[in-house]
Amino acid sequence: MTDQQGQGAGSARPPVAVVTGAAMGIGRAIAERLLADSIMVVGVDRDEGALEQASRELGGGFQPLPGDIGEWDDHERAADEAERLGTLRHWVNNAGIDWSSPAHEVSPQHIQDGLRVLQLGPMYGAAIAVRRMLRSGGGSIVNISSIQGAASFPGYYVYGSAKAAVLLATKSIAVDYGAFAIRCNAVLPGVIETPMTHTTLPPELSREEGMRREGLLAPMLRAGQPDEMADVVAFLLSDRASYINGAEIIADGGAMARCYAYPPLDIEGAP
Amino acid sequence: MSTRLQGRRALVTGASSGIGREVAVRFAAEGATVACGGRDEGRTKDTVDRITTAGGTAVAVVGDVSQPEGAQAVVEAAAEAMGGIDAVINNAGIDAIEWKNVADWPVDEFDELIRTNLRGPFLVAKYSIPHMLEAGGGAIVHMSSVCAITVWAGDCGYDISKAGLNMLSDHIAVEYGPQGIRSNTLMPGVIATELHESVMVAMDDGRAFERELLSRHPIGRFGDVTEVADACVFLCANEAGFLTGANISIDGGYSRV
Repeated sequence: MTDQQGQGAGSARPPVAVVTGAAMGIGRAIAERLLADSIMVVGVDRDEGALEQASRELGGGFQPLPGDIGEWDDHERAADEAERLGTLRHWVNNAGIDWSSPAHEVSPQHIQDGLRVLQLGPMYGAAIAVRRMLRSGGGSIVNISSIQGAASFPGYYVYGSAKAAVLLATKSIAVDYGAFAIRCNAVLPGVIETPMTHTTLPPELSREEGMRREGLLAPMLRAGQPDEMADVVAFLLSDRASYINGAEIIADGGAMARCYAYPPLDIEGAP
Repeated sequence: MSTRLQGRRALVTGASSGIGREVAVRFAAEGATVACGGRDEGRTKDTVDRITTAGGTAVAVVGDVSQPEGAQAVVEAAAEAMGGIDAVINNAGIDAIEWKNVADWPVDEFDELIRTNLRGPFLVAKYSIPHMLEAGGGAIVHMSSVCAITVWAGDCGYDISKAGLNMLSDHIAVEYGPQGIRSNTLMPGVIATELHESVMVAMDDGRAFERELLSRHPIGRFGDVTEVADACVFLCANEAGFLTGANISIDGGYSRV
């Protein structure tokens, strides 16, 4: 099935999307879904090996671009590549890292390193996307935040703060550029089964058991799959979501709809 | 046209006009069998005629879903006609014509808003859920409003009814998530419907207010019923399989300003 995804008037060139963190997990699923919708994808990732593998498996519509989203110029290169291939219509700020740390343990460097990728990366990407889309007649941007941007998970001081910042950056873009045919929305995934999530599971558990326990966060009693996030992103990017702007789409199987009891942090030396 | 809802059996309340009518028509075009709920028999049947003329399958289920017996009758008639229910669009709603601040709101008007906009959807959900459980799951979309999260001064009855609707949706999401029932809301900004037009015409300074409203939509225009229908299709289709308990703004950015 092919939707007409945001092809503006007079746009004879094919639509192109930039997807960051496209080598694995949610980003890879997004790239695959957009390719199925006949949208070419410039896939940015700092893991060159995984990116090459994704490129081999996803085929000709996928243009790999090794890069670091903490670098402004790497976003510029991605935008240049998209404009070389066609018309830059879609931008997905997806790349992220697991950055676990309670406030009583963080160093200034740890905070800066986390924010560089998790906050500055999406802010750089959206800023560059907007500049290009203003020239080309509009487009659609999706920022992958997290339910951790709306409520705190224990021990995720930097990650949660950055994901919250991404939500406000989303609103800012939506408000400033809505009148210029640029829509910007955020997706807040809950627990999704990705390679990144696998690394956070307790090592003493089997992967199956670990993911089963993670899935209990959601009233649907399971973790989400990357494909399910890709469906939401593809919808938001498409003209089917033409009046959705500045929205925060919680895609968490209902986790945020209820309260949930966590055990307290185990802090050595605290009374 | 795609077939995102092929084989689904959907009950759409308030299908006699506006957003509900468009949703019913779109659902049928996407392959669903549709039970069109409405209080006005003639207008509800008009929607059914539009669907069947286009080659779709639909039936009218006429009744007042704000009353328990009416809601139950509408749900049962829909289930019987379609052989079950997999999707519900809790759309029927009204707005107040004369806006007043809280101390001046007539009690009977407040009751009417809550009865239609909150008790009605609760009743439709209450009687539909057993059918969805029997079907092994399903999806409910509640037509909330940007007013559920932002105050429109003078319209407390409407705003409160829509805020309550969001919590109804969350309850269904949490309580029936394990059984495969998903529940989400859409929170439209101003959509150019007959309801909107009637309110603007009835207001003393409706057109001036309309211009002010427009200025609050960053996207620079009001929404169209087709855009709300698109979002409803998305929420009921497999695409939204991990979405439940979500409140989705479809307001051109209104609620972000």
